[in-house]
Amino acid sequence: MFRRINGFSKVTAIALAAALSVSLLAGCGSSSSSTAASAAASTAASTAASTAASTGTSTAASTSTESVATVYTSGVNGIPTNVDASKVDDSANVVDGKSTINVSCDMDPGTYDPALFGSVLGLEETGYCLREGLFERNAKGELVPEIAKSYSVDSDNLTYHIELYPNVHDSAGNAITASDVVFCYNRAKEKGFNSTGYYDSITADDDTHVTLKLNNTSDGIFPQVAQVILIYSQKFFESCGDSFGTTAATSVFTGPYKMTEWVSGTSITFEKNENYWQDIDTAIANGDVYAQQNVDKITFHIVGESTQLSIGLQTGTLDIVGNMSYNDAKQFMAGGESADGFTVTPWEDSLSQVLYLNMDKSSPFYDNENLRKAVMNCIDIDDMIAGCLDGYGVACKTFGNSTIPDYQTKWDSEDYYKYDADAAAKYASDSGYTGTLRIMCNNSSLHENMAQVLQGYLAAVGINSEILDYDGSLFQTYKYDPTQYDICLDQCAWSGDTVTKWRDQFDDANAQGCQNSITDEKFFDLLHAAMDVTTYSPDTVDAFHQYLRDQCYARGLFNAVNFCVTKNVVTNVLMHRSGNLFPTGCKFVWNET
Amino acid sequence: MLKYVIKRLLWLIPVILGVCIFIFAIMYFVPGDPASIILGPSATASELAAKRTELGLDQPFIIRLLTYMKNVFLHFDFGNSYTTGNAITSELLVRMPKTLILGSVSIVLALVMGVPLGITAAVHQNGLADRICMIIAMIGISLPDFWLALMMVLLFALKLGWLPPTGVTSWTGYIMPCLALAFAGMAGLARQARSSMLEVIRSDYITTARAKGVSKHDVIYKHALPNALIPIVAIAGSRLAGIFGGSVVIETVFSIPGLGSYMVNAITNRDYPVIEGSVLLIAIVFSVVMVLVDLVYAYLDPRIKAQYEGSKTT
Repeated sequence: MFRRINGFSKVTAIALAAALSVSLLAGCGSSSSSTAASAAASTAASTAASTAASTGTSTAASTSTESVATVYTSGVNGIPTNVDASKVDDSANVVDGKSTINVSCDMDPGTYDPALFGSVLGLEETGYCLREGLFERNAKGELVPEIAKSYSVDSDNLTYHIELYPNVHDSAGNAITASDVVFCYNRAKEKGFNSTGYYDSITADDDTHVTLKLNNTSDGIFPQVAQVILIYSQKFFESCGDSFGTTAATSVFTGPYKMTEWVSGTSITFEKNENYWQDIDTAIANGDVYAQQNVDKITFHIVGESTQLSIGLQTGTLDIVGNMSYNDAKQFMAGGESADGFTVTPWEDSLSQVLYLNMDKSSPFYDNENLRKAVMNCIDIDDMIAGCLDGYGVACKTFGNSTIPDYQTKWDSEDYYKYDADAAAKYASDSGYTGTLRIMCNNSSLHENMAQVLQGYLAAVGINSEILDYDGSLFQTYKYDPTQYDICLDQCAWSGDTVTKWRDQFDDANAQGCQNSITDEKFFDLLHAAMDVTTYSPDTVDAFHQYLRDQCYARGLFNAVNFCVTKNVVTNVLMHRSGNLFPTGCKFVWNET
Repeated sequence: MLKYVIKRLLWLIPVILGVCIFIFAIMYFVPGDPASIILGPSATASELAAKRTELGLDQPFIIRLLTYMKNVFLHFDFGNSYTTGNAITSELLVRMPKTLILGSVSIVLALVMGVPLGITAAVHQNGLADRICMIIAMIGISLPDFWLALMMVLLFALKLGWLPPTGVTSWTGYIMPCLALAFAGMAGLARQARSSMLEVIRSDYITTARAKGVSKHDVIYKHALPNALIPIVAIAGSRLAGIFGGSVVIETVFSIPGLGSYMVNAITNRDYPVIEGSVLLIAIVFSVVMVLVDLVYAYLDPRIKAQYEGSKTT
């Protein structure tokens, strides 16, 4: 009896283990043979190469196993998907004559109050069609009018005179005048919102003119302030009290869309603002591509789990997923098991992964140029991209993004920390350093992988290191503390221009100083020459780039390639300058017919 | 009996106060500056100082603790979120019902499935039914609930199209998350039910009942089960309380805006008031559930009732 029970249990346990193993392997999956492709079927990125001219600059991604021929950047006109609109059935998206799309969103914004930070990710994904500032920046970094028509600047380069459009109002009909602009700027400053430290005062000259007094003549400050501080009606704000921006009824702004429903944590619905204060065609003619109304209704579904994004697309719950990894997106590419009816558009993320060396006096890098060169030249960036991103990334050629203003195309052909393990090993030996370097990063999987790869490169040239990874909030605190790291892996958003971001990271006049504690006077002289509007020029920009590279204080590593998966009702994909999908600016089959 | 209830309720007060002080102290000593997190790297030193004053971060620990406790216990005000500025109380009131529904339905399903499974296993000990029931229980304990949730989504949402893959805008959105949570709970309850039943079945009074000719059904359900239920109730109670704070994975998979995901996002963002409020609320719920469990004990176990009634008469 005992032997029979034992044998039965063994058989049961083996069967169970086998069943679990089979199900795990089944979950890994592999692409099935391609289904029959029609003209309207999904396309791989390679077919979009012929339309590169209309989409902004494009660069080829370095790949490991799969071919992604062309990677797009967020050009001014968007990225066409090459879908034949005449062959697409859009009945599922047009109900009672109203067009509707469903888009994924990573996080609930929490609040749409422009003076509070909220969930930055959620706001960037959903807020641009709802709220407006004085100006906006297009993908080229040029200022285009939103609520403000024009501006002029005094000879001091600090005093800006801004003229508003006379007929601005929000979706509830509340007029927006200069006094509202002043209120919004003052309230944002009182709340300590982003960029409010750059201006001292703002006054209303009359109903349509304001005077903004900056306290910094750096190039890029005014565009940053003018686009980041968003405008709303003071009267409406005061009527809402503490609930402003927290519900659909209290999130009333001037944008081309209005919020009609907000189920907290689940979905947010916007509908076309029939009471939009300006003519759409005029706004687009002025360069504001974000003032489009290409769909009647858009619902953002908050989906935090990556598998659910794929399922949402396949079940029809979602029509667009703006940002997917290659592994999740490949099933929707030509030849993939779910390719039919979808298009995948690869695009270069504006978020750059960067590396800083701690240049504080207590750091081993402070007066050891050989050690700095050893670290910078031991990294095989293509290999790092292959290891961390499965090959889907674009190597940086400066401390910044190659697609935004101030980047110089001549840098493409220059050596930017050429990988040379032998030279790096010699530098390491000549440095005389025998300690252990601390590599600090946040605890995202990407940065942990980058740190491990870097640790391997350092070990290969004879440098010991240890990895210190922290959660996001703690990392944000420690990266300004030079006692916490020797090498810092970080990321930088590039929504403005290159010089602005250099200023944000390195300027010793910043509130927290230079991020990696550089004390080199020549470095700051070159930086300030590039920053200041009176001395800014391609030569000063290049001079700083060369010096930063030669001194090995910090370097750009790569930009990830993300994948936007769209149902074939989408004929053109528009990315916002922040690097997020801008769905109301996309074009759809109903716009083409 | 009333004395027992009052005594249990009074014990809630020091427990909740203790949790409040403990969690506040932990948040106080956690590294990281909320002012710089809120204002970002471009904030000047004076702006940071002003923000710290506004948030009360420059106050001594004891002042901050007493202020917090006064707001929470006298005004039911958990403060405002550092990230969104929203009142935490209202946010908790919006999220709590969803987690409550998730927890309550899943524990009921777990009890409905698990207890009969355990009873069947116990009654047919070492038989085929016992083995099948325990294999099911072992599978339930072994399978991660998020994996089970995703498998259900693939089957019921993607392949069959019967249920929505995410969201709880209608009651159908609760089916898969509740089943996923219930399956793991069912397994634990089934094993406990089997163990408790086996212990009770071997008791002398059960033997006596059988000898007296009581039917098998009555022996199991009238005599054995009430005594076996006591540990099952304890496990069900702690499982229910655990769901309130521990269902973040299921909430993430199904995009349910519940308490668990709210708390995890707050931890990521160092949103201290939200963390304190969420943990305190979970502690209160846990304590109340345990009181209810104790009351159910008293109802099920006449010895507890007699203990208090006996002390009253003597």
